[in-house]
Amino acid sequence: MKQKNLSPTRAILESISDGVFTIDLSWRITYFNRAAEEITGIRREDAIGQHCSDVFRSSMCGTSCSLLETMKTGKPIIGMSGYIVTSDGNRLPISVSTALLRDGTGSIVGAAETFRDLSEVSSLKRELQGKTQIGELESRSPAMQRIFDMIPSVAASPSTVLILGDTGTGKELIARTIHTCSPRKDKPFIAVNCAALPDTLLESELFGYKAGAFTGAGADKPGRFALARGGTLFLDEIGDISPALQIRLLRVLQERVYEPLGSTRSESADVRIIAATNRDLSELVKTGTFREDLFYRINVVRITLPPLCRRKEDIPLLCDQFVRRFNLVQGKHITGCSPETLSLFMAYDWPGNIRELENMIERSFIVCSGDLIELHHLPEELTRMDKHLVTPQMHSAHDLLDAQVIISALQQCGYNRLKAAHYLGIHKSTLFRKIRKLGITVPKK
Amino acid sequence: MYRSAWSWHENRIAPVFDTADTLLVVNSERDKEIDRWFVHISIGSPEGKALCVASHHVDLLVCGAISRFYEAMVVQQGIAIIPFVRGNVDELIAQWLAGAPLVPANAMPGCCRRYTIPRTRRNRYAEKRWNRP
Repeated sequence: MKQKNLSPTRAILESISDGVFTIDLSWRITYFNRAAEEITGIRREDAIGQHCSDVFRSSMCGTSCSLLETMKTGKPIIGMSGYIVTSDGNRLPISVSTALLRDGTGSIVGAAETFRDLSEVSSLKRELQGKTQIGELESRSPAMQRIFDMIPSVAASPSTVLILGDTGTGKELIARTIHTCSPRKDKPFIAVNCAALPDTLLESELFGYKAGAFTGAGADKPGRFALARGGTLFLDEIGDISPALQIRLLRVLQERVYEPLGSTRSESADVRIIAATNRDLSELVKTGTFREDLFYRINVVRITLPPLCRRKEDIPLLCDQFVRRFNLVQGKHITGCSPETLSLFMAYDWPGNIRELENMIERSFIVCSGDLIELHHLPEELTRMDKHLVTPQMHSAHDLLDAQVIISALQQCGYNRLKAAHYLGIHKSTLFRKIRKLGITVPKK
Repeated sequence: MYRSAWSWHENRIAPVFDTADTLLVVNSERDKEIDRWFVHISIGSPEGKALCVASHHVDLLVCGAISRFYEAMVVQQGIAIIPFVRGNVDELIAQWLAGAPLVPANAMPGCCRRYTIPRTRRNRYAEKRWNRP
């Protein structure tokens, strides 16, 4: 098609960066512009005359076709989001708008669809947010990114998973995410805290019992294995179970059968087991507290969660999550944490991890009546910890962290600034400048 | 006995497998169709969808456009796949049973791909047919 022969409308359609195609009433493509060629990678001569869904191949084609909707209702659709699958199997995010085509008499002769390539917008959005999300889990931390990469394949496999991590690092949330990404997601997720129940009670909780199995067992009671049938059983604090129960659990894992208390018949255990502990199981194996064979049975896929102090980049994200949740629960309209509060959070070590941060925000919610959680809304033990550290010269979390590192180096070197500079690997004048800038007071020897 | 699955939408190959919700499963033996039935595969995750297809003991999947991750998940289940196919499903099945290669004659516009065939004994049959001139 030569440029000089184009009608003004065609010339405009050829010059725009949005893809445009039109179809007739039999869904065959009648026009395909230059941008449509570029976005889809399909030449105009290959597209014209073809069924539109064979060319366009979008997530909307088929059951949620926007052109079909427009043809049915006569109403245009503006900015519907989806993706197209390119011939090399990549997904290209797009937004789609549609309109009817009528002839001179007003009869419908087809429809037009315009589509915009959003891949650049999407990647910019992702870059700006710099976070990854799986289910309820969100993170900006590279340490968590490695775990996020593992989750889809771990979820797809039926293998037993062992989640390790300090208390409050979100082991149950990871287990829930694995369950919701797995083929068992429509079946129950049952969590049992093995440390919360005495041994005898835990046994009947896990395996259930038959009527008359012991005094007071008036009727059959299904155990957690039976309740989780077809789904996932999450055994938290597995390092705390007794040797006797370890043997029973080992049998279930090996043979996939168990007997409820008082029963003579075995029942099949159709559950996926995810175990978690904050204890060092290999150390427990060495000391003989935990059975080696059970350890190897549960240690098929291992996920180790980093403590919050090793993923501090997630603190603002977690704060936002908790603020959103507590706003809903408590009917408040708090917008977030002040920069000073966030600085303090970033400087703190969080020995109780995410649970401690959650509790801290919950407590601040009770006393906060304004828009932002300020330093004076925080519990005293946190602000007291920082009083000696926070000076008027500090403006950011970065300054606070610098001050923390410098003070700790000075303490280790007996407040000898030259030694502290060597210890930190910086020049003494840099250290002096930072001490002055941050307003750190160095006690005289 | 060879079992093939055809990603189905209104008697055409569903344009995108990732969002397809129905498979037409066909049992055939010595180029003769034995029986066929529909199964529902409206599952969101790639892994779940691949497991769902595999649960029907399918040897071959014929589908429209498919994204890489979905394709990888299906192949991981040991299922041979002929992607980016278009057209009327009945006609395609007839062609397939008559021994005519489905591609390139029925390939979607702009798609001339190599086809992913996991090297299993059962798939040698499918492989031979694709290599047929």
